[in-house]
Amino acid sequence: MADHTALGRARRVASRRPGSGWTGGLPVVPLAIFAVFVILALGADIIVPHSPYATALSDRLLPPFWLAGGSPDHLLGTDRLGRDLLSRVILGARISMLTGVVSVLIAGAVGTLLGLVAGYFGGWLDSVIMRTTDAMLSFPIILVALVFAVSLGPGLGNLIIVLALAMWARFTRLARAETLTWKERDFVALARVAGCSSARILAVHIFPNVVNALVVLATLQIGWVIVVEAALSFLGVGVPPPSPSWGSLIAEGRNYVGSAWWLGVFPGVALILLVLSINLIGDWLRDALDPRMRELR
Amino acid sequence: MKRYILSRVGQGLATLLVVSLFVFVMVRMTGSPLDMLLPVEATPEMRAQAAEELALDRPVVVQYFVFLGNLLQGDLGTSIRTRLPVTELLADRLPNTLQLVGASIVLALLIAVPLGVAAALGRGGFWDGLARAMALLGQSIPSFWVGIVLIAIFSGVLGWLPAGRQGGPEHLVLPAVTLGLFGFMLSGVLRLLRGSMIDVLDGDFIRFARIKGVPERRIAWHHALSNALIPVITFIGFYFGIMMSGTVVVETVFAWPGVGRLAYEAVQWRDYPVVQGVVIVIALITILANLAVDLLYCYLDPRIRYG
Repeated sequence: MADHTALGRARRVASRRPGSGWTGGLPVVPLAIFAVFVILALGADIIVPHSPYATALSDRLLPPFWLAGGSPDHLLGTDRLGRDLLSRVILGARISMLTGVVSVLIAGAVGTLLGLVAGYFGGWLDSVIMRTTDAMLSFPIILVALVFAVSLGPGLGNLIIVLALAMWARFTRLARAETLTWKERDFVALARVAGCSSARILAVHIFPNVVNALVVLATLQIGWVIVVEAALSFLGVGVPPPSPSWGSLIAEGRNYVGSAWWLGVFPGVALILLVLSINLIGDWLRDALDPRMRELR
Repeated sequence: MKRYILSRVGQGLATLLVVSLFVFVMVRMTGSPLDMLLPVEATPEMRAQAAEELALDRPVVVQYFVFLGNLLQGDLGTSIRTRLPVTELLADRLPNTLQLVGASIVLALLIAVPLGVAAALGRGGFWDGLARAMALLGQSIPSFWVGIVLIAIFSGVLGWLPAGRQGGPEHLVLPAVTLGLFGFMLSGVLRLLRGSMIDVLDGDFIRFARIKGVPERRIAWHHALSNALIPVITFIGFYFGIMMSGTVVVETVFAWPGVGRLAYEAVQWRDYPVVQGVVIVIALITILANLAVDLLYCYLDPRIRYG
């Protein structure tokens, strides 16, 4: 069933020529940056120079060490309660990576399963699933996330659910479209003749062919969702304080733009570096893994 | 053609119905507005009386159908917090958001169209590199952070531009730059235009124009661009709705009195009718924008015929 809406056409153009070979070889620098963030996120407890929650009112609003009044003890300075900014930014990496990766895994698993089922079986099941994804995709996402976040209450777990709810439909669309092209192939027909169950055909014969495209989407979604998490935390409906999410750190720093600029700038720089490296890796993966891109070259 | 329009309008109405039901249920899960309106020491009798006044004591199903009936008459209810009709609040705020979103789109296009064409013409060259950098940065740098940095530099340190709020055209500069250049607008248009230009430049009619001796510059900017812009227009129509709701962050940073800010405050206050009103109106605008783009297609690309 060809999608004749404007949106369907735009999606086709976008999927046909995503970057048209904008990327070159292995993205070494982005991979290195990403690896650093993974290490920081996993080993945050050991790496942080100070406790991210320890307040010291005598050390309030210290500037970074290279500025007058700064101390080598607090490399990036301190916040209004004297908490070490570097330690808070490092712990923020864990929050961002955790929400990003887990919410994409949940959305990817649920969305992919629905897409495989819709594409393979077709019929009324397909119609129901696809109309639901259409409705999901035409909602104003940030507003929906806002309403969800307030209704479920603050907390990391709820935030992950909100973000997964906002994303699953994209995986469903992609998995369904890919399944439709693969299920007509001869090897699937042969498997059916050989007596394979539908579940086995989906799992063993179709899913492995679909997984590349899904990995590319998942990577790019992680970058997107980390920004959305930061935006929600910035608005005060994401990760509740005192947890140092980069979004809430930026919101805090906003009150000190004139006097203590470092409070808002460094969490932002960390966020940008992480998202930029993920997007670069995602672009590269798309060109390297997506079979349609290979045909084009 | 007529049948196509009718079926698309029907689809749009169905989506709107789903949106209305969804937002009605979701917003009621956020808690009761009574908690925000009444003092903590309010007696059960006071709560019951307030609930009756606000018609919150009726069964939820009844509340939904009353809401739907009023909606069909263009009545979005009354704000619980301000006691003003929701339509009035929206009429007050919507022009501000439209102004901001409109200015951002114009700004993004002014940069993305020439840059996208130049990138496609000189693949791997300087303009292509610049286009790639702008697309990547645009989608990786969060708009709320940029907004704060821009305020700090241009209105704090340099004192050149106001930090927001409504006023003359100079108030629009920083918010429009933030929303237009960061987020997916600029980056989406750049990627799409570059890709579709490369596609179009491969076409037979371009080869034919070259054989005819049409100058290269005219081929690129006239023949190819007018075709390559078609998917870009689609994207803008689709993205328009997303931007309308995405403004909540930028409107917060710049204290911009638009619908995003209205929705944000309404969610905080559990002001059900206002949240419902904003989401439904934004969904309606999204659906209308998509429909308008679909119809525009028939004129832009005569090959497309809707049966």
